[in-house]
Formats: sequence, structure tokens, C-alpha cells
Amino acid sequence: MAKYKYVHPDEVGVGEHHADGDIRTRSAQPPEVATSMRAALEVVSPTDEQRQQLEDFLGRTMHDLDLHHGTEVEKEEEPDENGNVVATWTDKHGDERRTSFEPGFFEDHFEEVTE
Amino acid sequence: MSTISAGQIMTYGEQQALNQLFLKTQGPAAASVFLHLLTNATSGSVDNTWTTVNQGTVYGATGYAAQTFTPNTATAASPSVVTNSNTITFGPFSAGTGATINWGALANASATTGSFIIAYLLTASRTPANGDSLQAAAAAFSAQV
Repeated sequence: MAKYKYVHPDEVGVGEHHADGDIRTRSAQPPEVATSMRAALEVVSPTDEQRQQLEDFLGRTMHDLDLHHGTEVEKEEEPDENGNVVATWTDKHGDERRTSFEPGFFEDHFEEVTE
Repeated sequence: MSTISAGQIMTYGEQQALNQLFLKTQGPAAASVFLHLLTNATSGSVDNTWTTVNQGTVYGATGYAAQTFTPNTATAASPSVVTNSNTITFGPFSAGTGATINWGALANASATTGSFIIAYLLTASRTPANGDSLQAAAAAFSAQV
């Protein structure tokens, strides 16, 4: 798969570029999910470290989950069923992701990486 | 129509499992499975006899793509349980948001023509806005026979 790098003139992420409002203030998890996960963890008598790991996870914002300026992606050979480009990448938490992009946006904001 | 609940193995999946347990058929080679998102209503709108993901209403925002679901080994317990070992994150969504996501649909392909194996009713429905992502923790999705 061909490698590309996401480059934005204002150095903002893909989500931030398209967002209505400030994604730094939007929690990644709804309150009911946070409550449920805290309750489930307490059932297994967690350590302080496990509690902290959960709080770190629950403290993530939509900005934390964004595809940030400078991120390298690999473009899949086939577009998705809507004709969008699909690329795989690793987010800042180390999680593998697949994301689709309108072809025009991909062409304008991704530069091919030549090795 | 048979209404299904969280982590319900679809009829297709049950047939696959039983035919292999009874040595009627050989199982497929190990491969990736993928989690799709559906906007079908929470009750009475997902039929466990569906065989492909696109028989449901697949979430259609730009930015969305099915994600790899990495399963743990089935637990040595009764009932035996399989959960996702990886954090699963969709997005960021960039256009066409507004629909409410109620279901995860496990399939054997990233395309919506993939075989529909398990349906997961989400703990909390999500209606992402442009710029949002949707993240589920490891072990958020569980299924048992």
C-alpha cells in the first residue's frame, strides 16, 4: 500500500478541520459509558494504577482521537462502497484505525511519502 | 423477525459453529474480522436471519470505515466468552453525520457484503457530530454461546 502523510496548512487535524465547534471540549465517552466502566472495574478490586488507566481513557477528548497533522497513513488500493478513499493509520494511543476520506480532501491534504 | 440482544450470534454464525463442532464442515482459515456500525433502531429492527451486514442500515458518514476487531481467545469457562482485545475507534467523521448509531455488526470482511456473524447492541447510542470519533474500550464487546 502507498504511504501518505496528512499535511494541513493550519496544522489542524482532520476532525478539527471539519468540526462544528471545539473538539477539545468534547468528551470521547458519553457519561453513561463512563459510569458503567467505573462500576465494572470496581467489581474486580482494581489497583490504583488500573483506576488511573481507566481515568486516562475516560478523560480523552475528541481532539485526542483525531488524525493529527503529520500523521502517516497507508492508502488501501480499493475505495469503499461510496467511492471514498480508505486509509489505515496508527493514532497517538497506538491503536490501528481505518478512516475514509472524500477523494478531493485526500488529494488536497495528503502528500505521498517516497522512500 | 426474531429480535436480538447484545452480543447475539446471528443464525449464520450459529450454523457455522455447529457445523464445525459436529465435524460436518471444516472451519475457514484464520483471518481478520471487522466491526461495522448500524443505525437500525434498538428494538425489533435487526433480524438474526440476516446473512450480510448490508441487510442492515450501515452508518454512512464520511470518515467511517469498518474497523479491525481483534478477538481474545475464548475463555475456559461456561459459558465461554470472547471479547475484543483491542481498543476500537471509528472516525474522525468529517461529513454526513447526524444519524444515531445503535449497533455493532461483526463480519468477516470490511465490505458491507461480508457475512454478518454477531450483532452487538451498544450500551449507549451515539450520534457523532462532524469532527468526532467513536471509541470503544477493549472488552467492550462480548459474545458467548
